[in-house]
Amino acid sequence: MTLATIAWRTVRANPARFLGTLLAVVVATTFLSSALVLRDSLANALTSNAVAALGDVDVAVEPAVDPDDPSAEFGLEASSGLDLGIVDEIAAVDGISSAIGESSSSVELSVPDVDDPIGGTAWVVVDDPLTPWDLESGRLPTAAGEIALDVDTAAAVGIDVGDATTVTSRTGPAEVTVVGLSTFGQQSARGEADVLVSRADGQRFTGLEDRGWSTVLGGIEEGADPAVVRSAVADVAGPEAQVLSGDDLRDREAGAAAGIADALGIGLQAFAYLALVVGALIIFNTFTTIVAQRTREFALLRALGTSSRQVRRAVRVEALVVSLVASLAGALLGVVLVGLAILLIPALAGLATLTVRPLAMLQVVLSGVVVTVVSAFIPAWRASRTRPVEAMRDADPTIKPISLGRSITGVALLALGVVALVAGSIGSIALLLGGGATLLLVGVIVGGPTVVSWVARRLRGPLGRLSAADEIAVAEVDRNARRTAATANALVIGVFLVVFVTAAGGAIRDFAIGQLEQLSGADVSVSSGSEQGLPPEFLADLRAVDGVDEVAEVNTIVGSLELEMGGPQFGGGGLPVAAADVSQLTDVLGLEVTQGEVDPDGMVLAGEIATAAGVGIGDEVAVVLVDGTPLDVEVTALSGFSFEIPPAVLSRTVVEDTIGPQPVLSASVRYDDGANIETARTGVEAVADDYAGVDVIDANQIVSVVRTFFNFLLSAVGALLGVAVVIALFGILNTLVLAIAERTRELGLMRSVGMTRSQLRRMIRTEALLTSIVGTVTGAVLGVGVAFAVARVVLEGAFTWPWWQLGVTLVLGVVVGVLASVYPARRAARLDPLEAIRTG
Amino acid sequence: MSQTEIAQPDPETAGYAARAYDLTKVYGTGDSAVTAVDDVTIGLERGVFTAIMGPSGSGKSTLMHCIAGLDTPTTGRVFIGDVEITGLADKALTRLRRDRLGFVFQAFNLVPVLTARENLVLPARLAGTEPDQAWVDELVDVLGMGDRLDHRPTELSGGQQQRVAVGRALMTRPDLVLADEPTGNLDSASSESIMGFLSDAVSRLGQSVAMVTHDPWAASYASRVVFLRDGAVVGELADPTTETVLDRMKQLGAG
Ligand SMILES: Nc1ncnc2c1ncn2[C@@H]1O[C@H](COP(=O)(O)OP(=O)(O)OP(=O)(O)O)[C@@H](O)[C@H]1O
Ligand SMILES: [Mg+2]
Repeated sequence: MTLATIAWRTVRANPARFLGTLLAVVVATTFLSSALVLRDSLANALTSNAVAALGDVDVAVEPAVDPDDPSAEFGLEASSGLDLGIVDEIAAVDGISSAIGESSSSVELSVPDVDDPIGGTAWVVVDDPLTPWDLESGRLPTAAGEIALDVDTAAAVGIDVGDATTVTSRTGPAEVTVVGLSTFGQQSARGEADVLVSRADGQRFTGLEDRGWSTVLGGIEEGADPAVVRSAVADVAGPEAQVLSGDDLRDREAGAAAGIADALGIGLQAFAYLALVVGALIIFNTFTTIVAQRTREFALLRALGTSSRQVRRAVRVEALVVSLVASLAGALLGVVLVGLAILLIPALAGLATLTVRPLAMLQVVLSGVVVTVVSAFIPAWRASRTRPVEAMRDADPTIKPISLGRSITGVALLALGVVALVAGSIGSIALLLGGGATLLLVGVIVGGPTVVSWVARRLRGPLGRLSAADEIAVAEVDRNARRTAATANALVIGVFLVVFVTAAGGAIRDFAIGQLEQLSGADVSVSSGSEQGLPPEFLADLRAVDGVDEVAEVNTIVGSLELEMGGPQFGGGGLPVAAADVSQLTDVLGLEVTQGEVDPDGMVLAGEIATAAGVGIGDEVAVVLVDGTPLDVEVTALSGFSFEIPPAVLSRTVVEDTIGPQPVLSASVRYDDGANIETARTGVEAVADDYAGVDVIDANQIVSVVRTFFNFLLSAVGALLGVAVVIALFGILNTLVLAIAERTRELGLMRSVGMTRSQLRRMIRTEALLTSIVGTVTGAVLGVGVAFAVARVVLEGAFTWPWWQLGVTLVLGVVVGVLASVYPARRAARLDPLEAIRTG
Repeated sequence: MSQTEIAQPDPETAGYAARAYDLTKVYGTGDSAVTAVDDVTIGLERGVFTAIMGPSGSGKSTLMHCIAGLDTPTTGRVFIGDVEITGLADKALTRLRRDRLGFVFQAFNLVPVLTARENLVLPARLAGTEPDQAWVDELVDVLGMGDRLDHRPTELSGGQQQRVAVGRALMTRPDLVLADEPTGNLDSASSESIMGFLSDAVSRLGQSVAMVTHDPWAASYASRVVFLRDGAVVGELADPTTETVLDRMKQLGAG
């Protein structure tokens, strides 16, 4: 019989022994597998969709991106598109079969029975094979007042061909009739909701006449040389435009899609590997315990002539068998989970096609196997060092006392960690902060058993007074302090991360909100979702709202300012320059002038930026306006920061005199003194509702958006880290199952001298609770401590004690303990006392 | 089994610490079935030290386990005092063992994480009652272990461990102490102190004790010896001495 056979039989004969390892590896690999499958499924669907929708395109023309264009630097699309006539010119090029233009803008769809308007995108379409949309029913719009709507949106709001509805665009609401239902590739819509309009409605819905086409797509006749045709198209398009091949366009669209999926995949994988690391701790613990319990077996094998290498191999083969089974199950489960998610979540169904890449599955199985086998290295080595004489020993092989050296080292590391953290925090030394946190974590691993033993001894008296079951449980925890500590460490890591992220993230959130609240001078702001800015009609309506006192129009970006500054604060580009009415800077826009005087011909610059750039009052700075015109202005005032306006501000009149009117991207509103804030706010909202792409944000709402965003982020990260906590739960369960197997005789004895089943269960539960509470409290204390120290340095001490989260974490610790003990306690209670006595 | 000197317990009398009627225990089924205890009726009188003897595999341990409620008989009824334990639920049985029975096994009698003293009072602790301090002191005194009592079982000799086990069995002043080869692992000096301890408990405190043993010398401490063979009671001896027990064993072994 080979060692592999022995290993396989050992695993099969004692599945409970490996239960914790199996569960830990299964959960971690399932996580990894679903991350990878989700990534591939998204990438596959998005990519094939881009290819399907744009399949007929052979050539695409876009406005050239001028690297020197300041608006490009700010990430805005070029505001000027391609000339309207260019479509016909390109269509006339030799070898071009047809050409269509694309133009789009955001709109809102109001449906009588649906409360909130639905955000979507209007696209100008013409009936041509190149049009990326297909029709599910009806026809494409051909006249003004006709639209086609994507099938899913239509189904969601209960609209069908022939129905009337209202589309609100930048020019206000318009009544339209639905003439067709569309799909985009394999998906329903290209954006949130697709509103397809005819060329005749282009100006009304997308501003086509003013802006021109954003892209022109063309097909090439069969037999024509694509390269020749493309260069002919490039000649027609002129230097203002760039020409792409159909493949380039599809690659770009597919690449963008794959990029999104990749980023998501990388993020999820990071958490999955973290879960795997926590799993490694449990695997290590399991094998350490099993090896200790089997000392006699190994000693016997050694006495019978098995070499130490063979013993080591046997343990590793066991690890391999367990991890293979678990990883394969995890890989499969991941596929099933993603498959179910795609089936059951409609939002995902349109975005993902279940895709299982063999390479991804290989990655999952390899990760699981490697982590397990590596975690079993040290235990395997220990097993191989078993001396044959130990077969004859009677002493309990599972318990090794904690060496004094280890205790001292552990406590010293913990103490050093605390000192480093405090020093780093007080002295603002990042290196000490990081070092302190690391020392603490290492200290917890080294000194854990000592701490567990110390805590258990302190608890023995008080708990012993409660019940004998508790007292014995505490005594067991003390006896197995090493194992308890190792089990708790899995939980420490999980809880530390959850608490640290929540506490630090919460501190950052509150700091950000605190800063925001100081930075608002206005009562409410409105901003435009499109680059054309807020329509003048809207601004007029806004001024007429009851309760509105003043409206300050802001041209958010009129140019850029190149400043010599150390540090990467503003990247390579310039500082955005805004324009506003100088008379409104202080009272409506909330700019606090700290130095100098506001002068209509000069610039107001944020003081901190001026200091960083070494610019002072009276200095000339060079501004480049959006159209490229240079403008030298004198800095006449320094200010604080305001949420309402960027940090470099020019007078509107100066800018408009130079380059003409600029779009008003935002406006800040101040109410009349004593106006009813609620009424005024409702009035502003009512006006904004009539225009698409206008968002109303009041000071509180900015805060609430920031808060919502942070909270979402924190709970998402918390949930992902929670997987590590779940794995730690399996670790506790595992340790208990192993401990019960080890203590069969003891349990049988206690049962025969009168321990009831419920007392026995209580004993097991107390052991689990002690482990989980020690782990949770240690993790939470470390997490909050490190977060506090970091906040002191990074956020100037702004730190909200996360009492609430800490409470939840503690409750969680208790719940984890209780849950982990259910199965082992049941197992122990089922134990036949006679069985135990007989084996004695 | 038809021997007339075997005491037939009278259901009406309260003079028995434990009684078993028509007790049969069969392990396994079909061809592999083993009848470990075969239709045994026996009464263990109060205040009496009873020894149970018989060859290996004769069913001594099985009989004891059935009387203790650790094992369920296949047929028959068992009483501890007036309480019938056959058919009792696990919880009630456990309580009964805790409050009314004391156990001494051949080995591994003590919970390793508790000190000798803690082991001594374990049944009382499990019952959630305060152990009678005067009684504890007296037992500790009789055990004569001094400061060894505050040590863990692993730090005690086998004899010391057994003494603590006997002390624990007596601690709750149970209706009956059941001991299965309590001296099986011990040398003669340790055995002597254990036997003296047990017989003192019977003679001075009126404790009822039933003890399984292979040792005729140990059996001589008892006032009654019951002989088992193939699961059945095959003989009985009153006021035994080492010699009479040996004689009877030879006689039974031959017959
Ligand atoms: N759990 C069991 N399953 C099957 N058979 C059993 C079981 N326990 C005991 N037996 C059988 O029942 C018979 C009586 O066993 P028991 O342990 O009661 O004997 P004993 O008189 O105590 O022997 P010893 O002096 O060796 O302790 C034996 O034949 C034994 O093999
Ligand atoms: Mg026996």
